[in-house]
Amino acid sequence: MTQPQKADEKPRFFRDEDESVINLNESRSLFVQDEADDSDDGQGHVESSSEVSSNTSNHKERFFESLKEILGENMISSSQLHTLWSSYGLLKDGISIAADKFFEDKELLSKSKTESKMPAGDNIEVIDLSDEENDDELSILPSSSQLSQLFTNKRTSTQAGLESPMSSDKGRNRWSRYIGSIHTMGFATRPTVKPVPIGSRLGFKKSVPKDLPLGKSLQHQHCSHLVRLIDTSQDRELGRMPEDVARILYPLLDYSEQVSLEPYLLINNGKRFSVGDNIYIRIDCYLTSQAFVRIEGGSILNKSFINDHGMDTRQLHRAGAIMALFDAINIQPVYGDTKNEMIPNYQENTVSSSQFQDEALNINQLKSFYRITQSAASLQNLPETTPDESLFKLQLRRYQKQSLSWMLKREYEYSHLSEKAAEVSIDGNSMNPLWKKFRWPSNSKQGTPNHEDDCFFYANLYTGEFSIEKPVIKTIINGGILADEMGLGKTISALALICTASYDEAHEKKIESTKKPSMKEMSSQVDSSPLRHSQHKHDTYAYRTTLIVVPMSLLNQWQSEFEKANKDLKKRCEIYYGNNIKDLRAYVLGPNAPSVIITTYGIIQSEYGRTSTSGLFNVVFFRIILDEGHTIRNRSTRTSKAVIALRSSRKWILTGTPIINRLDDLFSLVQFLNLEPWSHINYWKRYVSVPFEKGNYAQAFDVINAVLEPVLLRRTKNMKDVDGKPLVSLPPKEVIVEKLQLSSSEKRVYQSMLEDAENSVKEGLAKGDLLKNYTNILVHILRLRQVCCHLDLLKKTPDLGDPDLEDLENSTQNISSILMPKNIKSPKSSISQDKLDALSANFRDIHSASEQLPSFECAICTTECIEPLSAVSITECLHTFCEPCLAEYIEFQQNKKLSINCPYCRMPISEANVLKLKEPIDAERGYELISFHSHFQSTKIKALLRHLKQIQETSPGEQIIVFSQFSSFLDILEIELRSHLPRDQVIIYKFDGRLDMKERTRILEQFHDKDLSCIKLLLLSLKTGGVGLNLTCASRAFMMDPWWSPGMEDQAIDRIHRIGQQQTVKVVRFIIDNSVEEKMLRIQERKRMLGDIVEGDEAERRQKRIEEIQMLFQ
Amino acid sequence: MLEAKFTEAGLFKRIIDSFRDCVQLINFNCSEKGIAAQAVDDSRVLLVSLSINVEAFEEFRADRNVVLGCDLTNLSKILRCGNNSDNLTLIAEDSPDSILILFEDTKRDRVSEYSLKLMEIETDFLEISDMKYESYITMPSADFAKTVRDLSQLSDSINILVTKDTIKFAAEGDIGSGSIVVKPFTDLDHPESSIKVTIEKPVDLRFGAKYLNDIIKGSSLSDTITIKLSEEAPALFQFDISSGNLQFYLAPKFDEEE
Repeated sequence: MTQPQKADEKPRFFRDEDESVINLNESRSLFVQDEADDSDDGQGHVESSSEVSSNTSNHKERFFESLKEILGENMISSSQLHTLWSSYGLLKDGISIAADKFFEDKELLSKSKTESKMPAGDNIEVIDLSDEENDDELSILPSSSQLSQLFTNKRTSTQAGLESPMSSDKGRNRWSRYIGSIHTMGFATRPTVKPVPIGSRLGFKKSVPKDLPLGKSLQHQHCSHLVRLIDTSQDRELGRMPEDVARILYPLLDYSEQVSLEPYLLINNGKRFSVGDNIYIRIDCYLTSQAFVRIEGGSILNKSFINDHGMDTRQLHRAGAIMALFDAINIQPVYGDTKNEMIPNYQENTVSSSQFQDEALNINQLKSFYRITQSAASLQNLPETTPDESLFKLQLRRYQKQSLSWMLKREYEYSHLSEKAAEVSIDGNSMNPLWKKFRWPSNSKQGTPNHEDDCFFYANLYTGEFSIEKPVIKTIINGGILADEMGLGKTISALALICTASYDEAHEKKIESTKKPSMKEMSSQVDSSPLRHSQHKHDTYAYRTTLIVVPMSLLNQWQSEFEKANKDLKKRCEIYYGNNIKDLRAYVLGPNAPSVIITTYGIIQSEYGRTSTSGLFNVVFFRIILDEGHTIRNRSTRTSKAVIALRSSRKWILTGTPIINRLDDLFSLVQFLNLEPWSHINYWKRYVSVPFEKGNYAQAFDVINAVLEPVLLRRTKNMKDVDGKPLVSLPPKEVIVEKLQLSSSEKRVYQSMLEDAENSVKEGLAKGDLLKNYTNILVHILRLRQVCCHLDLLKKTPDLGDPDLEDLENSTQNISSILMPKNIKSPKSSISQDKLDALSANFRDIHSASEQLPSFECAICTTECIEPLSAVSITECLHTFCEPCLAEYIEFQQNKKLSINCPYCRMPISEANVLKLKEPIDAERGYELISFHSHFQSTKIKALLRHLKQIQETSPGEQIIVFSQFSSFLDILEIELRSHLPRDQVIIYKFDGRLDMKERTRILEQFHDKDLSCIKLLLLSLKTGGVGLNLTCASRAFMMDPWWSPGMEDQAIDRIHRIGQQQTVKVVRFIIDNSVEEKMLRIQERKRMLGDIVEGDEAERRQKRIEEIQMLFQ
Repeated sequence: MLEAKFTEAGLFKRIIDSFRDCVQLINFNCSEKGIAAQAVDDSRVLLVSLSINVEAFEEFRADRNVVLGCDLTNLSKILRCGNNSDNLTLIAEDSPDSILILFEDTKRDRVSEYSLKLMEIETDFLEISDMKYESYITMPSADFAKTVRDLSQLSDSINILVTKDTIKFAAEGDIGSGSIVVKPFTDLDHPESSIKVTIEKPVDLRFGAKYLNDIIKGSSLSDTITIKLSEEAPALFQFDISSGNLQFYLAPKFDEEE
């Protein structure tokens, strides 16, 4: 309140209080306000209280008003006012007591906050009336201020008319609007001459330290001495603010144009301030219209800001200040926009989970991320489009029709949409995730907003921008990401799209109408491609061709799928692989342009950077579809760069797993789609990577969600369609883990290897350089895993391309010695090769009679014909036995500590010297003998054989897949299975990375053909065949060895467990009991729990690796 | 009402320390232009003149002219209570009998408040008119301080002889004699260490070493010292602060023989 007497006073701060008190008394008649101050004063001015008591009701009103002035209207409810009035109203200094009471009682305070949302109408009326009565000074305000009063706190304009932003700026049609208050307590740094009246409008003053440049981080700078509270009426410093508040205010004072801060004195004990006295103030905060003025180029597409590594310090500075302010006044963003309905729930989820387990993104968060992106709502709303039967042969499932509608819409191909579908427009614009919606806080003195729209404003807390209108991101790209789960028929959906809209109709029309190269844009996409001349662009626009990029193994599958689906004979599909098309550019631009060209990532990568005038990069395709689009997830790889450099007017990505390892995997996809502005790495980093690394998952997900929502469609197998049926009903899947025991000799090798490995890990842990020797340890582990599969693998280790370490070689040498039981004197070498040859010759002589199919008799069980031949065991004396019989005999004799003699001729024999038959290399030479132990059968192979025989008996004609990650193991399997299984009943195929394309196709085709008479066995390398292949003809699979990541195995199983599978899928996983494999299973479980996504930072990943290794050797 | 706020208490402390040894009592004349003070030492050979302009303060407000008579020993006792980095505010009424000195810590919420009783000091405030000097020297204050300290060991008076391209400081005493010759030069990278000489007429003046020793205490205020010499008038030794200066007027010693 301005003091008219101020000029007359002689402020001398060491004077008695009385003088100033008298001054106040003089002013009382003019200002109701001062009566409150007056009654604060404990000096006992009886006449003032008696005067007041003559008009109690009037006093009550004044009491209320004064109290509200002190505390702020929306801080106190009418009921609380009445309570306070009844307790303190008639006391001399009731107001200050009441205010004190109010302040001290935190509970009351917090309660009042909730209540204050609904200020009683009566009170407002009273206040308004009393205001108008008092406001003689109001005449300085134009009467037309009604409108602007709507936006500003009326009290502000009346009390401190000069400072009010409204009154001073009104001419320029500016306004300011209340957003909240901060209550705080500063302390006086200056003695005052006289008491500062309650409710005085104070001010802030900022002092700039000379050594602090603007925008420099205030992290370590103390602000409290830089922000001063000043008495605006006298322009004199009063005190300073506490550090926390000062920290918020300090930067804001630079932006007083946009954010106006109006501090008011709340409490006065009736005395002047001395140094150190507490000053209770309330700071009303207003946003002015200036804040809503768009900064030139300040929008999110501000290029300089992006290129500048996002570090416009000034803007950052301001944004930080505003964020802090919003925090301080506790203004919360509102949701409830129907469109973003899911976000709040999701946010709460992630926020709470990140609070409780500050470990990086766990599987639940990933799930919630997917839950959003798969947007169940869209499933309900998406209309179906059936492709033209004259163009497309296959029947689409309902959800596939939906995805066709969605894809057509994303390409703005409305003419192809079914009528119903065309009506429902897809809102491609989502609210910019960086912006939050806020409700204007109600301020009782401010009129209620007239329009519903008026209730909200939007703020971008990252840049500190404000907007009245809803900020939207417009997605202008043609295309998107189809991220349906594996096996939902992404390929079919994409083919339906190709068949439905196979060329750029608009462009064709343009050509027809003008017959001249059009200078106009073909699409925004093409514009943004780095083409300089539209003339040139026109020349290179292959508007009839869709380029499909696939992994090599899927090349033919895509082609055959296309042939199956396409009905329009004019449409052709060409594979572009291995120089089969000489001049691609001329081909696709010529009159005979194929509708589809399929190529591989490898081709694109190899053409990239090559100077060519006829390759993939010299053409702008009509459409590009990336199958298994996560291939480009690492943006630094050459392949990714190459793919991103491809040009087309429409771009699609098909992937079942848009995120493989980390959120940044998405960036390449976004970059490929050219999804502005997120395709700028700095932008992405600033709003996604960095928040994620800092653990601000909610924010990162928020952003990603909004980025992807319009362009990503994801359905999972578990989702229900419109009718509530599951999208896909696949036959059940049984996965059995079969635990096997190693045979004794294998166990010996395993134990010795394990000791080696354990020693080296222990050493590593002790030294702390475990990860330095990571490869070394991996080799140890690899060896252990190989032992679990087959001992022969150890010999072939170098083939696997692993760094062959010398000691590995050495240990391989040792295996044979380990293999030998220690208690047996005669080592294996007792039978030399020469002797073996001699024995073989003898053996051939004995059995020469029966040339082709010799039948052997077992001398123990007297079985005439020992089957199969591999079960024949032969002693040194060349007598034949069934393997089990002989083994049983030897064990029996050993247990009884009897000498082991040939059961037939009583010649002493030894376990080590038992011989086996070896498959004849050629029929003429006949059988050769080999040592039993060198031809040793691994536990897993035995188990597999057991299973296969069972299948052979129960269901011949079955197709079976055997997975292993070791291609050398597949080789062994091939040999072993061939020798143990009848050739006419079992056909064995092997599919691994060593095959070239043609062979792959041939093998898959042969495997596909069903043959009821025999079992078909496909030996599939996990890495080669794990992805993309469609092997639904088989329903049984065996996984010979576990892989580190469960996802890899799931992918492999999904080769057979996918759409088209009719039978129950049975998968047997062989795991050696008590071995490294079992521990790998545990690690798999763990990974499933945490999600592979986690892998926050490098250190964490290292730690995890160490943990995994420790787990293995526990 | 006077309110004068220094961003750093250290500045005011240094100012006071640079002349509190030669004068005991001083009147600070506060006006809207700033704070000015003048005092003569007991022997009336050395005159100290201080002026701190408004710009040197973070905040300055003087409603009326106020004279603050201080005992510098006591003032410096109080100034020692504050940290150099504190904000320092001087507050006084319009006709005060004491002055309030506030130190505010910039790191913590810590405010210390002292009041110092003022005293009535009867002095005349001399209006020093711009005089014409015959030689002007600007040199690093640290160099000058060392020169004075070194030579004052030999004698109780030091000669300053300025010719066209040489400044010669010389002292001759019972134990021997010494002289230091300095040539003007310009250091472009560090202008503050340049030595500049402008002369109209060569001068050769002798000053009491005791007083020069007092003067060099002002070296802490400024990197450079400006010396203006004339045969006819007291020499002026001036240290500039950010806005204002501290000046010492010293009357030359004349040989009785001449």
